[in-house]
Amino acid sequence: MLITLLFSLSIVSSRKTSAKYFYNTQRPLIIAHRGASGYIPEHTLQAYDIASYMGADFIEPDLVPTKDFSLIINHENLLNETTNVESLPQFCHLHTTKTISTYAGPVTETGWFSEDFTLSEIKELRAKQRLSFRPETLNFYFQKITINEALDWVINQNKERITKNQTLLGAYIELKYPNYFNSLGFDVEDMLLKILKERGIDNIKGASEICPIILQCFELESLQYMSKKTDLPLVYLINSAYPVFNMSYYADYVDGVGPNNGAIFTPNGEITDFVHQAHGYGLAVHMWVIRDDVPFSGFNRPQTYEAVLEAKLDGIFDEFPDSASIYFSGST
Amino acid sequence: MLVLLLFMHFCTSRKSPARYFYNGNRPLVIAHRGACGYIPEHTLQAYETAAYMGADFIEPDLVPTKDFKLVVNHESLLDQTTNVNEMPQFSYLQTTKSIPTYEGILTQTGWFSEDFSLDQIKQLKAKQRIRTRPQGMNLYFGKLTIEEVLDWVIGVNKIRLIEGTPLLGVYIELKDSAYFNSLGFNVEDMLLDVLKDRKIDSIEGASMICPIILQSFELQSLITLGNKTDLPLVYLLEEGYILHNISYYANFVDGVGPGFNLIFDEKCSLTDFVDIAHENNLAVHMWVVKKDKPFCGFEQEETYKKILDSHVDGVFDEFPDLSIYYFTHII
Repeated sequence: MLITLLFSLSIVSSRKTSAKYFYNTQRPLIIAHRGASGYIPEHTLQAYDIASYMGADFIEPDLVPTKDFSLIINHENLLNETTNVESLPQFCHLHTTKTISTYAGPVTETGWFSEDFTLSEIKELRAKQRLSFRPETLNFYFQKITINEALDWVINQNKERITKNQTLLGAYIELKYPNYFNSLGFDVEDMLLKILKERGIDNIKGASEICPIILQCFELESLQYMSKKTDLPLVYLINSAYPVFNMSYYADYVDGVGPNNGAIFTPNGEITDFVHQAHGYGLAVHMWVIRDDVPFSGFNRPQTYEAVLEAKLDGIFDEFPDSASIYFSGST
Repeated sequence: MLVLLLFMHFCTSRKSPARYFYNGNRPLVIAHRGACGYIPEHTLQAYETAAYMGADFIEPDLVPTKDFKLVVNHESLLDQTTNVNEMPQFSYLQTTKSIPTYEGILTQTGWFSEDFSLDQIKQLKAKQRIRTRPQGMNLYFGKLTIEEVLDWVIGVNKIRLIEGTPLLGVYIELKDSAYFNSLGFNVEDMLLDVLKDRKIDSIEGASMICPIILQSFELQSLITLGNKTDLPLVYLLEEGYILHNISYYANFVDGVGPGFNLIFDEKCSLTDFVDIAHENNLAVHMWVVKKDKPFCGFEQEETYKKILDSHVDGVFDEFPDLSIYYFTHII
């Protein structure tokens, strides 16, 4: 009786999505973190275009809302780090300080916030490279975009890929701080789902044919909410520096887990038990972030990728998707 | 008689003392027109990305403007790489010309740099020449002068000097020099003036500030330059258009820049070109490696393995991240 009970519990512990694009038996999935952001200002169509050309499987938009209920792409609602907002006098009056509740606790920041801007105001901004040691001559040319624009671009790319019988490019989407934004009156999950539905990609079947979608979030509740409305694969992001739910708990609700490299590798390069555990629950593991110019655990570039294979990771978030493509596919 | 022959053999080659002209560990990686596989060619953005990818040299091609400036474009025709054909203020400059080049007479219709002032060139925006490459960066970036490129590299190198990393170099080609000189330009002197202003018209200065290599399809132009500067010189060759014996040009240049079908024959086997060049003390820098148009239909990793097997001393690559990654880590 006990054995039967335990057995049935173990089978229930995981969703194991039916989306074929969520798995690759040959090599880890290559998710271009914020696009090919190692080279090109993050979260621009240009960063996504280059990532696609470098062989990434997924581009990776982060979404925050605007005042007029659009979902735009930026890693956080703060606009200072990735745009020229601070040099635009017409927006001086929007400079402010806020405390935002996040998975990492309350975060207090001063600057300009997306939820205080209309979409047409956001469109006046120009993107810049966040990290000063990366190329800066591409700064201040490219606009910020909505998730609608990014998806329509991917769908278009895929039309051509379909004619050439190539694998489709996917979009691995993260809603940022949904709890906080929903408390302001947005309904970010429904906003996103509506946009996906308009394109016929709010379900695995449609997504598989048009534009593969994976949904990721640091807030489990947001994923639980979405799982009631869509069968799209879900990935729970965790940062080993902050408290998270037990794997035995979240494994019931998501198809994968997205840990930081610190959860997978110790500082001197040893592999932890994390992947093994996650696989025991039927969860895919997608690790963030690989950066050629910010190595971890003392690994150089090929050592990083060897370690990824040795750790049996199912996917990696990479800011230099060309490196990952060369290493895993033998070509870009 | 033997002594005479031996003496002649030693005279048959310059062998540049520029250390930056050689790399003992791997072929030099020359970013052909910048990282133009990804970014519109010959823009600061294509050069900066190439530099960040680890390329040893960026590679500007120079053509003159009406007002005696040297701008960076692969040819004087502006149609393929800019939006000139969409600008009504320049309609009247569209014309047909026949230009004598190393390939023979080339007749083209369009807009030509030598008919534009620098101010007019500065109104143009760069585009990706090849339709199958990323198009999302079209019509953002401007065209540059060689001064702007050099000053940018010199700025980059100031930081590299502090960090102790190798300097970024500039591998410059004057295009169609005989033709432009016949129009009244003096492109070699124009270039040398720009280099001299920056104290990089000599190996000594270039080595400390901004390594320079000069390349051309026209041997005469290199001979002219060779009389006025000790900077390393490379003679570019294309199959079908070879005018001189190696024993002749080896006297005047430090390297030769062949197209890949001089290195790999129609059966894709290695020719003896590199061996002969090396016997004549010439470095060999092969053009062009393009991931989207592999030569001999080689797979990507195979391409770079074959390049290493051929013992070429440098490659022109439009995707310099690939050369760097394969040569440094994979092979």
